[in-house]
Amino acid sequence: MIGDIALGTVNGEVYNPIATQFIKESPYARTMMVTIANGSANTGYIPDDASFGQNVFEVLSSRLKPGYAERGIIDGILNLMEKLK
Amino acid sequence: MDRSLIAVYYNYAMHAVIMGQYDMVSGDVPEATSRYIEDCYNNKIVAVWSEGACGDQNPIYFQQTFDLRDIRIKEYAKRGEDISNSMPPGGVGLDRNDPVVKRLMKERELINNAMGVMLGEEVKHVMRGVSRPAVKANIKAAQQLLTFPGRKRTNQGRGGFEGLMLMEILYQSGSVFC
Repeated sequence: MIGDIALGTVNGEVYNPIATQFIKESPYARTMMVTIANGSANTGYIPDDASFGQNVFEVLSSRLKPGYAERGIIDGILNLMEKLK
Repeated sequence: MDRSLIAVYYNYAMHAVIMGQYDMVSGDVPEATSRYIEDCYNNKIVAVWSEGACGDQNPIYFQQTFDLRDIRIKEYAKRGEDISNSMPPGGVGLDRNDPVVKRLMKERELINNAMGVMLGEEVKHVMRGVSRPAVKANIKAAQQLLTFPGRKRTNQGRGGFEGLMLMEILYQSGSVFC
């Protein structure tokens, strides 16, 4: 947090719909999601749940089981925001 | 108090892959954009690109990547190797003295710089509209490690068909930060 600007960061390559949803749920008007930040996760790409069905390189190479990361990341950052209030 | 601008931190969600064929190192669009913004301010400010959620966001224009890839695929095929559904690293398969390769590489540079200019201008446009300049801001941060169920792929290929996956055998972790 820089004043009332929220930077939610993830150390992986996140699909855009996850950021869109995160920004929608953030209590701060000025929120951005910063990715590939502060280290490097061993997950590969992080697709949103709806995109997992696509047979594209990014989804096929993801080492994540579908259905967990989208909510996990959004709730994870929102919880941290709550803690910092 | 000196209120002059010292930096801009901007966020954009796009893979920086205009210049990539695994045979050179380049700052790509982030470098082109930040350099353009900094030049516009006589290099008196620092422009910092932060990567947005770009997992599914490739550049809107990068036809040359496909054209150069086709040249590599054909070159590999001559030697009996099919790379149409894989991406071997290294600059193998591209003759930089070939006029077509030369032209495509030049086009790539033009597009890279053009996208830097367009995005840089957009950043400047947003900067003009900043309505609530803050003189003082508290910085707070927290971090948490998250772990999710993982999977392991057992077949090959970049895309176009179903991936065969072993589920529930490992866990993958990452961290979130705010």
